[in-house]
Amino acid sequence: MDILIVDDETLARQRLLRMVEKIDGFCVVAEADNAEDALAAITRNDPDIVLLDIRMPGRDGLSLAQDIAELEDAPAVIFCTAFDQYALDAFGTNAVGYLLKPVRLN
Amino acid sequence: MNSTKAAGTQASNSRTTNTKVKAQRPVPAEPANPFLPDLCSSQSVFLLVLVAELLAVLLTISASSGLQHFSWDKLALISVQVQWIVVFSAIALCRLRFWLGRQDHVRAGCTTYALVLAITLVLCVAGQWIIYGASGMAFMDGQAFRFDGWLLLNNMVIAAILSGILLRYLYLQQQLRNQQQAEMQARIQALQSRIRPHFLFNSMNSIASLIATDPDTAERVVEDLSELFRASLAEPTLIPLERELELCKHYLDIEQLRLGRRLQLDWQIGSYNPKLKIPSLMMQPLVENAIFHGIEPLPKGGKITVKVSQNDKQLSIVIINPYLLAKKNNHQSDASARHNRMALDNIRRRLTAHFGTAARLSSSAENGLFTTYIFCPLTV
Repeated sequence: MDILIVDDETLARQRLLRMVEKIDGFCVVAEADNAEDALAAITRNDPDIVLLDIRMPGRDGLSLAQDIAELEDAPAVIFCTAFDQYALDAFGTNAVGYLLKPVRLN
Repeated sequence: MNSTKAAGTQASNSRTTNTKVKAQRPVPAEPANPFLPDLCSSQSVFLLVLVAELLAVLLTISASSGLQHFSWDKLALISVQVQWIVVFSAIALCRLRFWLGRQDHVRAGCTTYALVLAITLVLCVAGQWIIYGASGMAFMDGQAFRFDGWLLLNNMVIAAILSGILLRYLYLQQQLRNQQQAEMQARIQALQSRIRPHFLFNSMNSIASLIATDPDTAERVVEDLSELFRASLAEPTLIPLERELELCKHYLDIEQLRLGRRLQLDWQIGSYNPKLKIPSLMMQPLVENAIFHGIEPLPKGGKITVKVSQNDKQLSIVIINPYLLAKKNNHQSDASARHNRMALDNIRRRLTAHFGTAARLSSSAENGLFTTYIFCPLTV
């Protein structure tokens, strides 16, 4: 399974990267720190899963998830955020998961 | 051997520190929960003397069988007696106010009442002896001094009734004041800003990320975070300005790790009295707002400027941050602006609760810069 990590914070991306690397069969194919780079990476790398932060400068994760949902052969979106109040909005975007930071491996 | 010596030195150091702490601890001016008002204050003494004198006039009118037979000599004698009973009682109650504040109200009430009656008894007996006996006034009337039991009983009954009424009044007045202070304290506590939960979780995420790659930095973040939450969980109080600036720095150090080059800081701290105090966690929420509403939404980040200066009248604190214009912000700009206003209102109310109208908080947004100004009276 190919994974794209989208988060504006370097430390948060590094942590997700290390966690994904510990799971057999999963591989991080790209990282992005904003919505535009994330869309480009999806087109380029065709990931299966997008781990997506919500609060980012520029376009936020919720808005990006709506665009992803409209893509042909859209990857699954799993939100990773420190905020719990966006959960309802998040599932309105067809996301398959909502993880709260700090995310646990299991 | 060495360890024993080291332990001994440590114990001795610890004793020295304890002694220093004890020596530095200020004696509180007021008990935590006073039973009666402070009867030693100049205002209380003035009012008590005035009430005592009015009482003396009443008793003189009553003893002279009306105003037409009003006797100035009697007024003088009664005034002396009433004044010294009132003054001695006030001194005794003032001395006992810390002890009374620690007792339950029934016990404190009975003690206070008994004490005032005992003082009245002693001073009435002494008064009869001094005024009629020792001064020789009895002999001037051609009579030998004889102790007047009825006079004493009269005085005691009058004292029992009037001191009961006066003590009850003072007690109720103090309880009302205690209640008002408790309510004010509760309001300040409710307004005490709590650090936003997402900051805790983001910081924990940073720590989790750093533990593997940079354990020293992870350790420092844990220390900074502990300091911040210790301050946040503590009772709201006035703390030295220097301490509040330290807390802001701890907070910004953590955010710096998360935001990297997107966060630039410009500290412009002028000279200020090191003893100066401000409400705890008053600046930190403003800096947090500057990050949350200012830096985080901007892809390239920006600069937060913190200016602190003091003149002979007031302390001024200015925090400047860039902000994203609302129409460009994509998701939650209205909620964000509302949240920012609430945070500012909250700090404004805390300032008013501590300093009254002498403190001001205002803000302006122009040319892409949001500026918050705080002016506080100098509190040492």
